[in-house]
Amino acid sequence: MLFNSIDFFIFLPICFVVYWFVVNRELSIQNSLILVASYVFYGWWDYRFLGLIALSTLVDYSIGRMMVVTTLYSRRKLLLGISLLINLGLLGFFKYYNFFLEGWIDAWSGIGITMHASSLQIILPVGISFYTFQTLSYTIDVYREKLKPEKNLINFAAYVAFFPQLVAGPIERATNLLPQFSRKRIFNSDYAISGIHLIIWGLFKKVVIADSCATYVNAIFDNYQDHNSLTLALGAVYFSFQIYGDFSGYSDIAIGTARLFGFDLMRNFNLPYFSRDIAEFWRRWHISLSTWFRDYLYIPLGGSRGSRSKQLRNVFIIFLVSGFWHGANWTFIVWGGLHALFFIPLLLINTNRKNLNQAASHTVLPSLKEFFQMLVTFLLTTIAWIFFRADTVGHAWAYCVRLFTQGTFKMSYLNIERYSIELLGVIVVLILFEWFHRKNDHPFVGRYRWIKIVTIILLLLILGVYSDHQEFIYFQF
Amino acid sequence: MVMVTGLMVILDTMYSYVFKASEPRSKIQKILQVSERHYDYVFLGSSRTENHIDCEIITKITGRSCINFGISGGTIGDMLVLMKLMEVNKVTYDKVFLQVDYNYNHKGLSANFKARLMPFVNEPLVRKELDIVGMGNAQKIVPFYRFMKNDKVIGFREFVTSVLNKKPRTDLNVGFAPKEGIGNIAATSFPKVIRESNTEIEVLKDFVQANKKELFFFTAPYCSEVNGRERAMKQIKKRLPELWDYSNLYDDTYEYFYNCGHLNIHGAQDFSRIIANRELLKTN
Repeated sequence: MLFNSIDFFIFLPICFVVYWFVVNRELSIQNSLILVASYVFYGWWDYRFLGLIALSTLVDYSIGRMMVVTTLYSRRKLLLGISLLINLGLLGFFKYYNFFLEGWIDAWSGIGITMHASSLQIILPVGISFYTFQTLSYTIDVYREKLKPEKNLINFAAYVAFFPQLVAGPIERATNLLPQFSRKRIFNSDYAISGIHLIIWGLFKKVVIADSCATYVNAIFDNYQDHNSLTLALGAVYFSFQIYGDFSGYSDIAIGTARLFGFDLMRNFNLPYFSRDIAEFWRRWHISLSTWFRDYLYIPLGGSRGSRSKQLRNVFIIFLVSGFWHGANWTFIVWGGLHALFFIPLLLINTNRKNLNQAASHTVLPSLKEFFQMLVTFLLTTIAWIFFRADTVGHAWAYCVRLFTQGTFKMSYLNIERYSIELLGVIVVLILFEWFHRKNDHPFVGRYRWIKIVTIILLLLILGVYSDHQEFIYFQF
Repeated sequence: MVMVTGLMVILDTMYSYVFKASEPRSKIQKILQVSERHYDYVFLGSSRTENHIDCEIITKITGRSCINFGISGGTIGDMLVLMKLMEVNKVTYDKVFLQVDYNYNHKGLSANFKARLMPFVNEPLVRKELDIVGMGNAQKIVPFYRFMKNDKVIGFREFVTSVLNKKPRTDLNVGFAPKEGIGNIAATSFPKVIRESNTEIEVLKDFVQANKKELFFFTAPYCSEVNGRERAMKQIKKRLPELWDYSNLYDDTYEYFYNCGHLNIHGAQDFSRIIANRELLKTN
């Protein structure tokens, strides 16, 4: 079920009413309702996927329970290994089987041996990377004794399948989300209203910004060889806003929906395009994934401790794995590699933790220096996005070459194509709203909040894309 | 929720009014706004009519009034609805010329045509025709939803251009929309099998006959690279023996094509002269 579908707009109010007005006296029934609703939400795509999520839930629940009864370090380590093997095995099979198979065949053909193996027609279960990482965080935290294993299977299953963030995050840590299932939840209207505000803002980012950009991005990237430099630059910039609107929009709707049910999810995006360097960008972009990799991969590898070469190795590993997490394609790996290359100079001159606060934190507008830094960071991420969006690394490279060599900067594309001027207009609206509310998680605050709400709803109604129903990009990961 | 519904009602009223009252920007709007008008010749079809029939040339040669109601992507079903709308609005005619080729296989209304009808959904005939093809209840019941769902055709951009009374690219008084230049003659294909019959053509025949008017069928030129052209045309002519087949008229004249299925302005003007001299003068 998509957040931007009629189905969801019927499903959500029904769940909300039953949750708060029918089963509100009994926490266990509320949790059971969340579990059932989550399985309905997930099964809406394909009921066969439910078996996988149930398996993942049972495996990690059982392993967590077994860890508590043993004090033997080796046994706990073995249990953790089993959990990793099963979870990463399932993820690897569904997501990476064909990629490795093709790599294997290519490797043999390189030395003259032809192999024939038919790739499997595997359907990638929606959101498998997200819930696998979420369950893994539970097992690892139990292993590290940061968290007591959950006794209640319903609570644990509801934590794994919690529908607001099930298919595209935020990837919640068990330490944050799981205890919330054991606490009595009392309806708080202010909290619920802030949830609705986030849903409206998220829908604007998805339906108006991302889906409008998608039309142009597809047209430009699919025919990049026919376009001039200005159009290609526009295509790359549009994709930067498409992926931001799409993914941060989903996260906002997820956090807002969770608030309607009394849950608090972590912030997943914190105005990443206002970052002054790549290190800051990664503290603001897909925060739940980058902190997951930091805590469960980067720090165990040694993090920023040790020799320079070790630090560089760790940076490369974390970025390449992050790229690979997005999908079985070299484009994602190159995307991760590029970010590593952009990050390393900051590490070498020890400025990777320089910009920890918000840009222009005490002024209305950024200084010229800050503006320039934000612009450069945006351009670097936009170049990397070309690799992320392209079908192959070859296409991405050819796109970049044309971008810098087809020097005809005619404005014809902007003038002829429908909607393009409106699109640039709404992107400006997005940037202004975000900049002037950069200390809040949505712009509907202050004296003029009603004017802002009505404006955004009007834009949603009149400029939203409803004819081509677009799925969220991150569902494929 | 109340606020959103209120906004949707207001927007629905505004959009409906503008599409009804503004200068017509589509052929459907044109038909709904011109009443009690008479045309001697009415040409119907897809872009292969819209881009090919220059009514000014035809009027010059035949001395008869002419309108090109061809619509890009239009199906025979679309044309049938257009004819019904003409009747409701007392737009009369003597002779109808329907383009028939690959569209013989199409059924029902095209998505673009349905979208163009949506602003006029409260007109009884439009409602009836859309109900037949299944409009979807949400678009009927939820205010403004029909404009949202068809945003690319009747969305914000079209609304604003209608408010500003911006003229469409096609002159709707003649309906001819020529293509410029010599384009890519990439090979396209005809369907392998042409279906046995087309109900909409039969209904159209009955409709025109009931009004005591005449209906003619024609096929405009294709380039010779179209796969299966001869085979398909043979099958179509078997079903419509009276068809004027000009599909291979310009097999040696590439400079007349914008692409394989469409003539450019020079080809269209020449074709209009040929069809007027060879066929239309005979029908007078």
